[in-house]
Amino acid sequence: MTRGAPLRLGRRSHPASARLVMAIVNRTPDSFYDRGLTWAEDAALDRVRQVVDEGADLVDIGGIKAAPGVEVDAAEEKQRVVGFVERVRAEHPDLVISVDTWRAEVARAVLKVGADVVNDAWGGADPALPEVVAEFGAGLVLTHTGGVTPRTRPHRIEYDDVVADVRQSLLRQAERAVAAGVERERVVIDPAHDFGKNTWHSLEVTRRLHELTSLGWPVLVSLSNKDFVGEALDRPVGERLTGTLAATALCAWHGAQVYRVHEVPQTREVLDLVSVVAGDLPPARTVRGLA
Amino acid sequence: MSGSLVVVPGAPLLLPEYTGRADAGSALRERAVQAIGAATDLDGTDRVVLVVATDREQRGTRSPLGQRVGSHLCGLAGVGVDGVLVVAWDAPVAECRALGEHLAGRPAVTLVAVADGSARRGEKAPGHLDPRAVVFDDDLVAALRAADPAALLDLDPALAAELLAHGRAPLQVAAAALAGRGGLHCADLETADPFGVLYVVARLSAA
Repeated sequence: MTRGAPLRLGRRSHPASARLVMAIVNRTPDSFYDRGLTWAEDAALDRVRQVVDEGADLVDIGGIKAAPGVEVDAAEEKQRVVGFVERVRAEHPDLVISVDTWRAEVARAVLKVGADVVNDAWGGADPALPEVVAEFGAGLVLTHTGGVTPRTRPHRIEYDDVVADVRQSLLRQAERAVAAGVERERVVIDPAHDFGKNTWHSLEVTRRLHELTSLGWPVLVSLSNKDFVGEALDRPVGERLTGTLAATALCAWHGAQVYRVHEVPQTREVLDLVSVVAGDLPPARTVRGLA
Repeated sequence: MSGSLVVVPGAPLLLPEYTGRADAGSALRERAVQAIGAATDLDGTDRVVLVVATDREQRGTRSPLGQRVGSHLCGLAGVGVDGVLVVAWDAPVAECRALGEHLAGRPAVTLVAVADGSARRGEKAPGHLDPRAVVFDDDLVAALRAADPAALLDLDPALAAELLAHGRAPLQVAAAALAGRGGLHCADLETADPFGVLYVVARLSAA
């Protein structure tokens, strides 16, 4: 069992033993899992209310689906997320809000209206991003993508050692973020399963995740319903929850601390079970053999 | 001796090391602590002697659970433990009587007996259901309510063992210590069995 590192998100500080749920809220018409379910702003607001009720620690709002598709420029992306972040902030003053964007311009716009974290899912594609995050005292999620262009699928990529590549890339980005002025405990690293990786790569990253959680930076994992789970079990999108939760438990045991997910209550329950087994959280209620 | 007797439960779930995020024993613990406090206030002391049974399922080297639970409850009540009398859980009545009479010969002291009734009061009870459990427990409770040491000393050790009534021996030690006391009455008695074990919180005092 491995533990992570202390981290700060918004106004909250979390210990190295924290296991936090980041609920995905899509402002997209075409994301792979929900297929536009929360494309309407009111539906997305309902989703935020629901995940808050379900115990999410933070939300991750995204305006562009990860996979290739219709081009969404910065103006359109801002149109999708800025006003929405503003509404979420007004309705949930204490909720930690992350926005999934690789663009510094979009990051600046959402940080101005109250976002706490920028989730740079594309591995530092925009070099100006860390300075913007630092300017607002916000948090930054850094990802390993193998250097691919945003919104492209990996094709015939190989690494001598995928975990070494992940480690090197994330450490370089993390130090760069701190040098740019981002507070050390607000830097989170994400190996980015499936991004720039085939299934073999994502499985190896999962198996060797402790090599990343022991680096001294809090680790985020984004496993939810992804292709590596589907290919591992031969399950299509829509039938990957059990596999996702199993991978979640493994990553939790390896010390990952933030879980970007579609299904909040199930993830919360898995993480709580791991925390209880790890001794980081007392069991809910104990009577068996003790009455 | 002229001190009170307090009967408290011995459930391990009353101990902090066995408490989960939701405290399954909070109400019971609170009642037990109140009873200890009320008895020591009445007796004008802040010291007690614990009477506990050995563990029926002894595995390791720790102090008996009854001793640890009783000490914890006394600590919460702000009361010091001057002594602990540990009686074998299956001690014959004669042995309990002798231990109690020895206690009675000492200066006045408040006794805290850690003593539960049967653990076989339902299908989900630790010892599953034994239909004799309720009758046995009713006799035990009636004896305490009547502040009747002789009736406590009449409890059958063999039946108590079969019913997993872990408080029989400590209660009989306490009964022998109280026997012959004038004005003995039950000042307070509550029972509960949320998990199939009879818990008793009782306070017996003289005058």
